[in-house]
Amino acid sequence: MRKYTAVLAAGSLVLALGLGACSTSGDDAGGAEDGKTLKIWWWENDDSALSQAWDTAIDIFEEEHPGVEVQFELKTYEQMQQSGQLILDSNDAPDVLEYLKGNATAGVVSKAGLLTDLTDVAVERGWDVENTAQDVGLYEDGIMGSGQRYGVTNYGEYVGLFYNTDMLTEYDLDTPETLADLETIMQTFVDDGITPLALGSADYPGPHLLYALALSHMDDDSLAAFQQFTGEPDWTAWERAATTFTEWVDKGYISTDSTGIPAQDSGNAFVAGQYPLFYSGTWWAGSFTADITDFAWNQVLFPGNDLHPGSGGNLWVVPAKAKNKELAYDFIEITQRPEVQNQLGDLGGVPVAAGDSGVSEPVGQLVTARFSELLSGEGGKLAWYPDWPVAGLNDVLIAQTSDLVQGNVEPAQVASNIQAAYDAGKPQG
Amino acid sequence: MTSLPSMSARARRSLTTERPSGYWWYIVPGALGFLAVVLVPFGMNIFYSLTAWSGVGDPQFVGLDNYAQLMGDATFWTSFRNSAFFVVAMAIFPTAIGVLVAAVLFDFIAPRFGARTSSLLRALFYLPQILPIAVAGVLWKWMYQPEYGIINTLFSSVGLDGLRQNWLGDSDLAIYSVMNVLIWLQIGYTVVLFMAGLSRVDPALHEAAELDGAGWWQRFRMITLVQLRPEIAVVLITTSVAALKVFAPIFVLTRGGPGTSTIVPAYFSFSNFFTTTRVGYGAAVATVLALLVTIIAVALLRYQTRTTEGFDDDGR
Repeated sequence: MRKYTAVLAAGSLVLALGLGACSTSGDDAGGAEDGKTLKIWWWENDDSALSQAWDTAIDIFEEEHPGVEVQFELKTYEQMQQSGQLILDSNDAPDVLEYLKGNATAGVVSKAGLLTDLTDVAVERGWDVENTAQDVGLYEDGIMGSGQRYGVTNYGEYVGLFYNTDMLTEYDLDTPETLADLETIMQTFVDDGITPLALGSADYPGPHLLYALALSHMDDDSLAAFQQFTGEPDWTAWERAATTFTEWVDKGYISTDSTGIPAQDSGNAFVAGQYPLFYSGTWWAGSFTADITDFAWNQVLFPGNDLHPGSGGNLWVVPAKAKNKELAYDFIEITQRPEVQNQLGDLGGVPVAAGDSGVSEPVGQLVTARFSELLSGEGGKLAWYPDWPVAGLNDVLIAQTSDLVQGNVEPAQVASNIQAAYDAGKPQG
Repeated sequence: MTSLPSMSARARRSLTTERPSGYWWYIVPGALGFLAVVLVPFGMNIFYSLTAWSGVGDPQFVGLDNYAQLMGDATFWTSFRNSAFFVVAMAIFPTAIGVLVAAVLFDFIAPRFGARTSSLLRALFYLPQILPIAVAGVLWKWMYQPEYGIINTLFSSVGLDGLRQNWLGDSDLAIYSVMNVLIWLQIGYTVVLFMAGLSRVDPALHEAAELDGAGWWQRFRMITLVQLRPEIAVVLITTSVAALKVFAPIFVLTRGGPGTSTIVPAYFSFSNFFTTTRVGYGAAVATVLALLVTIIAVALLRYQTRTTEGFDDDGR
């Protein structure tokens, strides 16, 4: 008898351990199968333009679906980056969530069949997704840019050169239009003992700058080769970029301390007026508007370039295991509406479908107009981001730019190291 | 004469093993936990290390390919070289400093300034241990920040601009900056253990040595160090193992950078699992790390058993 009791106890323990490991799935799945609940996840901070605009979308959704309860959960970027695919593979998946665009993220899970194919949904519902910003939602065999639609973005972003207008005026300098202009401006500041370019090369700004310099030597074909594996990438463009980068460090345009400075600190230093130039993304525009009060600032695209880092934003995806897909489609649709899009623009975000002259704030008008030009190809083109082609490339790029700033590596070696990581990660065959 | 103890031992054994099967069940919960938390995941890890897998879909069996690739991977070897640095920072230095600090607190501070002062100082040394590593990491990152960090600011304020450094951003310096944080983290642990050990030492030994004219340094070398041998062995084992699998401080401070200058096996494995989604390769790194940690722990345990036995013999 005692033996059986012990076996029962042991069995219960194993069961408890097993259930413990997947308890959340059982709890949360309940009650979400009757079309009366919409479970939404995103990770944007509460004070961000995106979060505020999406809150509005939830309000509209609730108004139009009086019997439906919206269950929103705020996640973190790290959570989704590191365990997103496990979540999508579980019964715990929400109905609609913000997901990272790119081959290594949305690409991997779309290939694994964890996302709902939205191609037909987009056609049936007449979604306006025929533009390059929405290319980030297309995947074929896990490669972004073409194929079936697995996600829809409702915002965009691009990387540009923010500048302190007051400081440029003080030194009688004009807005740079070519790379040579930019170098002249930076030299002027160096001559006066000011490091011109705020750069957090311990983080993504380093790779973004290196990519911009590489893009100045690329055309549409070599860009497609790099991003979409349509041919052999032009590695000489990267070597030339690394050479310029090294020269800029040697000339004092970039501080060697920048390897110890993360992105946020470099942005803060620009806000504090310590540097006249800052090359980074439109995601700063909202906070710059709020935080910079004692000088005028503006933003231009990287001087002389036709290709610019940037893309549609992260995606709304519907997990294959979502319980209420129709409600999820309704929500995605609402995020594309002018009222949500215009609010996004006014808060410094970059809308993809703002109504004509619907954006009233100057910062919104600046980034929205420029993004529209990039989408139409009139003012340059979007070149995505340097770490997108293969998983893990971001770490390699940060390591390489750090080493360049430190003078630990030759430009040719940088190109070859990036190529090695790229070749190791690219799809075989 | 010699047969008596063995007979009595046999007699004792027969008494204690009257109903041995009755006690085995007490192991079951622990054994099941061990199975669920250690053995099964480790088995799965070994299985994944023999596959190419992105974390979703079906793993493809590739035999020992991942291990073969590891052998030629410079980052993998760099991570183990860095581990050696961290053993110095987490085991060797804290042990040496910990013994010294514990002895000073015990022999000097407590008798002159009272046990409360000594306890307070011990608690202060222990503070970094109870501080969440994420908080400690953020604090140190602020202090190390090259532009406005307190360390560089202090140097500038006393006119020592030449000593300003890019503490975590310079690939030659970063590992020493991280080591400094690890030493700061670990000292509290060693001080507390060694102070507990010192309270066990018979004061008569010190008194006798003092009467014989031995100075503090001589007593420290000949009595304190010798008497603390079991504690030193335990501390060396636990801290060395902790150093080999260190992850959190690296994750918070440098993420293995700049470049790969502070990368460690645990972080290298993590980045393969979650950043490059090369789960099979990451699992291979984890397996090699687990194997290495086990070998070193067993070697140190055997060393400890030997020295403790010697200590017991000496002590009789």
